[in-house]
Amino acid sequence: MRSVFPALYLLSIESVKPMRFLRYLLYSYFIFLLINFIFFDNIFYLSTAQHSAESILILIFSISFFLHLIIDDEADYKTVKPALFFSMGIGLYESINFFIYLFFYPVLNSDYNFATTIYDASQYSFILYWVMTGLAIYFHTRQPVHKISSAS
Amino acid sequence: MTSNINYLLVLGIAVMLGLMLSVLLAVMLSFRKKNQHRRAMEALRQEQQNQLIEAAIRSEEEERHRIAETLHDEVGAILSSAKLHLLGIKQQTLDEKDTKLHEKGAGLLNDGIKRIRGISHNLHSNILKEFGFNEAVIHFLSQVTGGSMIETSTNLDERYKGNKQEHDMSLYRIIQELLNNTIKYAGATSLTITSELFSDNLSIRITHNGNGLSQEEFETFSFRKEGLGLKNIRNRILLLKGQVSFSKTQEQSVILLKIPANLPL
Repeated sequence: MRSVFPALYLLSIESVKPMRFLRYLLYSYFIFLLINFIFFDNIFYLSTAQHSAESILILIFSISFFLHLIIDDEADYKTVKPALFFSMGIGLYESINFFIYLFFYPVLNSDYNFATTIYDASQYSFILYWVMTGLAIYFHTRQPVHKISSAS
Repeated sequence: MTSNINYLLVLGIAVMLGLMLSVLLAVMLSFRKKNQHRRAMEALRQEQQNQLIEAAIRSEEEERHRIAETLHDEVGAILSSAKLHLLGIKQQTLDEKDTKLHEKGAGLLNDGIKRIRGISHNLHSNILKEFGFNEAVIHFLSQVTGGSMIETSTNLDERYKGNKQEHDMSLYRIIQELLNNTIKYAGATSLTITSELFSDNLSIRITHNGNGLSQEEFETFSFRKEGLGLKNIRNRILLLKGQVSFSKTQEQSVILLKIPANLPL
């Protein structure tokens, strides 16, 4: 479920809202989640398939957001800075962790030391993610509040 | 087998990370490009605005000159001719009452001619062209306050030799407008103009003991429809790339103008 809140946050951004396929992708993910836990995985154990699906979902969300920023001429750096930093953090985190989740059990079974090393890498990327999220929150609070005043 | 999985895993992470970093780099580059484009557009917009202001000011000056010339050459000539005709009347043939009327008429005509000359000189600003900015300010001040109860003094920096004539004209018009406003609305009895040239900037300070404007009042009035004079001041200041600030205390009001002294010709 760690991907749901970031996905909802990215969906709440004005420029991402019109991208309907992301919404459908999120619904598809919920369906996948149900099918996965009913037929394949146990909800009480770490499901690498679920984590990988989450990673790919978030990667698609954040890359869509980035591509939109590239093509949108009106996108203003100062306005999108918090969302950009958050997406950067989560995008980097998921890009590192997608393959870690995908291959974690096979690597753990074959090479325990390497598994711990990549797990450490995963934890470091998690720190990076929260640093970026912290920066995003900081930039969000620093944004000026636009007040509507009556013209005299 | 083990090393294969490890290799695939590391390769996968590297590819994904590379992909993500490339996208981020593209985002950053696009923002940079957009910012450059935005700045260029803003500079262009500013340049167009300046050109519009300059055109408006130039047409205003041309109109002033036309009016000044019409007043001086046509109305002034008619009044001078009327004076000649009036002086041609033999006073010996007039009785005491008509003599008084004749003198009164001649006096009023003289007054009219002087005023027409004054107005046309103000509009034309010949003194500015011939004697420079400082002399023009001193002359204008003596003209507008002459005969009134306002005590005036000037202390203008002689090192200031003038800018491009159009810029000096704009500065002169600003001073004219400010002095007119001060005399009309502030109710001042003492007024001082000082100027100082320092590091390529000319600073002009108008101090008076009347009820002048504060910065907030200036900003408010200059955006109103009827605040044409203040609007002109704002536009001319914008054109000169200068600053104007208003401040007042209970004792005095100060208007401070800061203009680059070496504007490009």
